[in-house]
Amino acid sequence: MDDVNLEIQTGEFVSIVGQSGAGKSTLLRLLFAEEFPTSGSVIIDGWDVTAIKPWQIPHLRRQIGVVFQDFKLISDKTAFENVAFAMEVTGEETREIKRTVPQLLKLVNLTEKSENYPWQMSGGEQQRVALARALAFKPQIILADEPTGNLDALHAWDIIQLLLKINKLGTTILLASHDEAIVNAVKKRVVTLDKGKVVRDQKTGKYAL
Amino acid sequence: MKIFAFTRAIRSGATHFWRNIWLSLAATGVMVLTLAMLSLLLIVSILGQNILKGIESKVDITVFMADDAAETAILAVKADIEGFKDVSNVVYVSKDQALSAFRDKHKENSMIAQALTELGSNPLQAALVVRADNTDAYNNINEALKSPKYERLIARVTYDDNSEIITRLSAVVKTSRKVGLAITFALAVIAVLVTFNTIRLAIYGYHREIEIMTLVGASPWFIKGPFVIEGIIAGGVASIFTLAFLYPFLRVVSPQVGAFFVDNQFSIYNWAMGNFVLIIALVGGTGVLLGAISSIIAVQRYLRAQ
Repeated sequence: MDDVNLEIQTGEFVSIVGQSGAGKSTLLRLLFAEEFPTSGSVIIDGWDVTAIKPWQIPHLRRQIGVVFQDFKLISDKTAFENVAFAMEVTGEETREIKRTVPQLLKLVNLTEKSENYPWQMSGGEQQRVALARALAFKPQIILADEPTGNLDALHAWDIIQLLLKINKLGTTILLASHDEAIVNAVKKRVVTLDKGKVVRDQKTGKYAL
Repeated sequence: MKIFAFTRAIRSGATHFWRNIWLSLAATGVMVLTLAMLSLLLIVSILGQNILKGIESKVDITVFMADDAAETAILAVKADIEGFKDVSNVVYVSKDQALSAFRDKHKENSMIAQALTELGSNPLQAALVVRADNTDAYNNINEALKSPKYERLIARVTYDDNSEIITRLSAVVKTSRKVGLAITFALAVIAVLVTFNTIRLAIYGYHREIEIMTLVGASPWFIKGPFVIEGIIAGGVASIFTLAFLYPFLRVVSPQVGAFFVDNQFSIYNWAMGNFVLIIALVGGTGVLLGAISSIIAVQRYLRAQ
C-alpha cells in the first residue's frame, strides 16, 4: 500500500475493488492488526491501531467482525459452537450465549443447521455461519474480504443481501471484492485500488478498472 | 469472567479430547510408554542401588587382637572404632567364639579337630569385625588403627590383605552408580522428547484452528486453556494405565529379582507398597506436567507464527 488516505464514516457501506494484488486484503488486514504499516497510521474510533500492544490485539478484534473468503470456521466445532466461541472469548455469560446464538443463526437462516459441522454444510452455509460469528460481538464494523469469492452467484447474492441488511441496522461495512456484478448491484460508495494506491473514490460508484 | 474462562477451558478440552478420541488415545498410549519407561528406570535404579549396597555390606575388615590383650582393653578399642567416621557397626568375636566358629566350620575334617584337641590351648585370636557405611571409609579406618595407642593391642588388620580388592570394588561401585545415573537420565530425556513430539504433532493438526481463534479475538491463554486441559487429561489417563500395569508387574517380577539379594532379602514389591504415595505422585505428577507443558509449548508455536 502506498500513500492511501481514506476516511470512512460510521454506518457507511464501502466496496473496495481492484484486481488481485491491488491491496484490498492488505487494507483490511491493516484494520484488524494482522499487518502493520511501515509508516502512517490507522485509526478506528479514535484508537490508533498501529500503536497497539500485542496484548490489546484480541480486544481490538472483538470489536471488528471479519468475514473471509475461505470462511475460517473451526472444523471440529458445530455451527452453534463456532458462533458461541466468538462470544466465549469475550467472557460472555453462558445464558446470554444460549439466548443470542440461535437468534444470530436465525438471522442468517441457519437455524436447522445449528448442530452441523462445517464439512456438513455448503460453502454458502459456511459463509453465513461466519457472518453470524462476525455479528456475535455486536461489532461497529464488519470487514468482508472477498466473502463471495468461493460461492456461486446465487449464494453470493444471499451473503450480500445479509450484509446490506446488517448495514441498515447501523453497522459500518467494508466489502473487498473483485466481483463486478455484485459491486454494481450494491450501488454504494466504491473505492478503487490499483497497485496499492487509491485511484478512484465515488459516492455511488460502479466497478470500473 | 475468569471463572467462565476456566470452566469453558475444561469443558472445551474434555469435548475435544472425546471428539478426537483416536488421536487422544494415541497420544495417551505414547505417554503410557513414557511413564512406564520412567517407572522402570526408577525401579531398576532402586534395585541397582540395593544390589550395590548388598555387595558393599559384604566387605568388612577384621582387627585381630594381640593374645595378651585383656577383654576390657578390647572393648575399649571397640568403643573407639565405633566412634570413627562412617563406621556402621563393630562386632566383637572373643577367642572362645572364634574357636567354636572354627570348629563348626571344619567339623567334617577330623584332622583339624584332632589337631586342635592335641594343641590343648586356643590358638585363635580375639577379633573385632568392622563394617563401614561405604567402601571408601576402610582406608581411613585402617590408618586410624595404626595409631601407637593400639600398637600393643592389635596383632593384625586384614585391610592390608584385602585393600586392593576393597579399593577396586569401591571403584566399581562408584562407576556403576555414575553410569547407571547417566543411562537413566538419557533414557528419561528420550522418553520425554518422544511424548513432547507426539503432542506437538497432535496439535499441529489444529494450527489452522488456532490461527482462526486468534482472528476471532481469543486471547493466548483462552486458546491454550483447552489444549492444556487435554494434555492434563491425557497425562492423567496415562498415569492410571501405567499404575495399573505397574502393580501386577511388580508382583510378578519381585520374587524373581529377589534372587539377587541372598542376604538382605530386599523386595521391590514391598518397597513399592511402602512408598505407594510417592510412586502415585511421581507417575501422576510427571504425566500431568508432561501433558500440560508439552501442550503449552506446542500451541505457543502457532500463536507466535501468525
